[in-house]
Amino acid sequence: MSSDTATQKVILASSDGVNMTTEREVIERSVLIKNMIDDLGDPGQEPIPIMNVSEPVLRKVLEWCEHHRKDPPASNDDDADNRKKSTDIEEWDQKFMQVDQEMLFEIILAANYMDIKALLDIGCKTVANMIKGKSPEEIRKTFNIQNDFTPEEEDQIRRENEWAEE
Amino acid sequence: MTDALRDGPPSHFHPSLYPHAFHTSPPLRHSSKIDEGYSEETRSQADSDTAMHLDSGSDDMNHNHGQVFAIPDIVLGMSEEQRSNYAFAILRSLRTSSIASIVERLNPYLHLDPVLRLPPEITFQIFAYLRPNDLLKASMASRSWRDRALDSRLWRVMFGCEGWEPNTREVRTYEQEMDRKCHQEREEKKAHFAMQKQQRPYASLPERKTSKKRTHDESLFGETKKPLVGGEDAEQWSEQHGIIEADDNGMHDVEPSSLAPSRPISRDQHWSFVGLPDHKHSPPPHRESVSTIADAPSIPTFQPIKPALIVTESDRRRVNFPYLYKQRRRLEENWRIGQFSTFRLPHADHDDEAHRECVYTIQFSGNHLVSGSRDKTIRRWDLSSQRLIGKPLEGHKASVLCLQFDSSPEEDVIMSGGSDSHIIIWRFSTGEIIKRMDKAHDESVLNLRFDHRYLITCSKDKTIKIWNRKQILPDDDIVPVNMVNMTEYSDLNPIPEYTLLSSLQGHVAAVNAIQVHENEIVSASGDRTVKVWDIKSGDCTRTLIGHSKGIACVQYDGRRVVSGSSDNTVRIFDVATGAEVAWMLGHTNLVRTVQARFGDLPGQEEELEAQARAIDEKFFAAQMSGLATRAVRSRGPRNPGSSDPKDILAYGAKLPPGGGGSRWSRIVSGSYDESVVIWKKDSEGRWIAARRLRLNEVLEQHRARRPRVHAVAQPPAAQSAGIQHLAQQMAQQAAPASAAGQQHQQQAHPYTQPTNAFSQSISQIALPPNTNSTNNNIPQQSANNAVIPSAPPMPTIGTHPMAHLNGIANRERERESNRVFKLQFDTRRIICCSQNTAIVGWDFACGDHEIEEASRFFSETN
Repeated sequence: MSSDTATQKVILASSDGVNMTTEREVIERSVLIKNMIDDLGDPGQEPIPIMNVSEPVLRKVLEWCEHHRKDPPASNDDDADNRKKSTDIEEWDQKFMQVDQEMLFEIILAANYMDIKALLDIGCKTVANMIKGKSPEEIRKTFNIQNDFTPEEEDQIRRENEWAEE
Repeated sequence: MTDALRDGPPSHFHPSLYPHAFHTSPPLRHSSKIDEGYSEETRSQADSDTAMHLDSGSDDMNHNHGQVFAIPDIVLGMSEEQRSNYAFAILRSLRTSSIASIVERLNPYLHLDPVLRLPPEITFQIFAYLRPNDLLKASMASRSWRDRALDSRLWRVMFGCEGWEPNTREVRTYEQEMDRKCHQEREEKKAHFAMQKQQRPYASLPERKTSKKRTHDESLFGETKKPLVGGEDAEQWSEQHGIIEADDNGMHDVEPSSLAPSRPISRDQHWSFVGLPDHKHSPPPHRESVSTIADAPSIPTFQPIKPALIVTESDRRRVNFPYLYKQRRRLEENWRIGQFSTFRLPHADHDDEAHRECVYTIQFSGNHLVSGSRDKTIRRWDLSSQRLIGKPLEGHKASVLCLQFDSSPEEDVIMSGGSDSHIIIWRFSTGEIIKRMDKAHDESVLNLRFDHRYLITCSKDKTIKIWNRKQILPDDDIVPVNMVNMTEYSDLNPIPEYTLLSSLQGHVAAVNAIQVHENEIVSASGDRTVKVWDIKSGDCTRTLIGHSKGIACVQYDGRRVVSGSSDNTVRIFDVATGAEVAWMLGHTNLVRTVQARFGDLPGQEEELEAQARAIDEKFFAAQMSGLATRAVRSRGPRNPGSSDPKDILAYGAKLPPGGGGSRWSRIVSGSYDESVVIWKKDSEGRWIAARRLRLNEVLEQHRARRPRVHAVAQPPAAQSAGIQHLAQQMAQQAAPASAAGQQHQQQAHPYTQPTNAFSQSISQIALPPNTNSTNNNIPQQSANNAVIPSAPPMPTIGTHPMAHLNGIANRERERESNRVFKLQFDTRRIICCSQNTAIVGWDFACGDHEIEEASRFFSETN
């Protein structure tokens, strides 16, 4: 991408009708938007509507894209599932993800919708890290989950899971 | 988006009661989020009511109903920031206990359930980052968490992340089989109930409406849930319940709705049933049967307490990976604690099916095992019945030393090599000879490997030969550049199948074993080296030096070579650099056979290299500080795989000490010391002899019945067979590797072809160094002498009379001698052959039907 193209202005419209201006290189972290611009040949002057993402979330997403604007494009390999799963997150991203749970889930949904694989991964890792090493009760607390098992069921499941104990 | 009632905390109140209670303007989030706002005010919590009323101290529940704190317009008109400041100011005016109480009440709004907020494909991705242990903990959080956490595809990932592979062919076959069975069963039931309907007028009661929720609640966790109300529901329940328990015909995929006589079969309804009404009292699963079926319809359902082997996804039966994962872990645990059952081939009750002499080679795959013996025959075995399949395959003129088979319908082949220097290709299913390659080598064929392209053989004649499996054109990609007699062929005159493409020379002693990996051959020789060859160029690309005596066996997985030697050690070499990364001493005699499974995880190559580099750096640092002063040479004290800088003996390797691999890595070696050792890595990564298995213990357990016993009970027609059996038995006792036994057997056994004494003696010497089996009196062929023969090893006639004498003298001792010649292990079993005529095995499923049931879907990995 030439530097001219990279800094081309792109206007986005959030689901709640707020317009935001960003640069082409930044927003092209989103495969959804990148494909859209590629199809149009040019970002154009009209705001691009981001249907499912509200202003605060979109701002957050753009903040991430801005920081990662120079990252190499997401590789197409789909072996993420098989790769040895590390939930390590680099420092900046960790800080970035220090938000309330609602915002965290909204970012994840936005990343999924806008097809920003790296951001989606970081979001998922963040949630996974919130689950890791916790007892079922601690997990319930963390996410305000209503325990709908009877004590007998809980006991049965606990016994059923004994094989996994190290 | 999920609806407010499900998203928010449970509420007894309908949100519409408080339409103005809470209200953001302008809306900051999706419209659906405003609904969540409503539910906030509707929440009723007796214990936190006090906070609601500032410091009123009242805990009257009615307050909640009567007094709603509508937010004044003036506040609603404020911006978010202003409202926030205002709320903060109000909070600051409260007593600390009130603030704490509010924080407590707000807690649920700050902590949101991702399973309710996020679609399954995203929670899948989140859960895929968890380890199985954490995932199981998560599955206990709630029913909806359990549903997502026990997703079969998710556990397929977990399975792969352990470095395990499912046997996809078996999985597919089984799923199709189950689908077919289910379909058939359904048709039968349809017909059955149609008949019943005609016969029983009351069967056509008005159709009962079953709430899906109720069905979940009750059928999922059996009767541990609330008591049944009786009446029709109870009747229906007991119908379902009864059928499940009574279902012992091996066909467990029950469709409850179709079992309820009055209910018509409807596609969507009946999948809401989830298996195991009462897992505590259900009988143990039968052999060859599915223990339970959990149906997983597209609507949310809940997992049974025990994962089942099969789940149903949109009317298709699928092997359930939570089940496979669990059984695989239980199986690994049996390996760890040494829980196994033992068996022998043939079954002790059918000892007449045994080889007449010692068994040099075996291979097993699926339910089949093929063995090759000094008795010149090849036998096919059924592993589940431990019985011989068909007749012994006769065709070799001397000992069968090596073989490989593929029973798949596409191949259906056994290839064998012997001390007669011949190679024979057999049809596995029929036992007929497809092709003979007489004198394929100048001396004994010691090992062979084939894939769909090549047959590769190695011999005591020091060469490795490469043959093509199929007719090819001379410009075919698989033709090596150094092809012999290349000019004879053209497009019009293609290269016929099993033409010698090239012959690799470089070893200076017998080539005892080979392994093929893609376009590389690895060969182990009596000359104490392992060589790596490129098939296409014919070049020897690397020579691995380390063993101090001849090498009997080798394995290669593309990264590391594992070899066993007459120096009693097993060693691991990093092929990329030639570095020796582990040295394992646990046997007290020649290591004749070895198999390793490192269980690499996908994409682990870089990681292994990084590990290796990090350890090197530690080593260099230690060297600088004088901690590790030992010269890094190929000799000297060895390292069993330790990463301690003091133990490092080679640097620059692409593999960490020990060779890397997953935590399930395993090496199994068999030796002339008559034992099999299972090697595992300890917490520091050092290979340790975790368990030693002794062949004689197994043979003791499964003593073959005395032939005399048979003879007495047998009718006259069978008696001659019984006598023959006796003769065989005598021959066997004398036989192992003794010429005396051989001669004895010739007289007694009609099958046996005349023995060529010369080729017999070849077979003895042709074996890897120090293989002169039990014949200790053969003029002191010490291991060292045998390893690098100074002249072509020609047997001296003189040994034979001696062997004869000794054979008789040593008969008693020899019978107990069980030098291990070849072993193979898979996820479940170790099977090995030895000087004994019986093949012995250890089964780590240890009679557990669930493990046995699951293990057919496990594929062995490198």
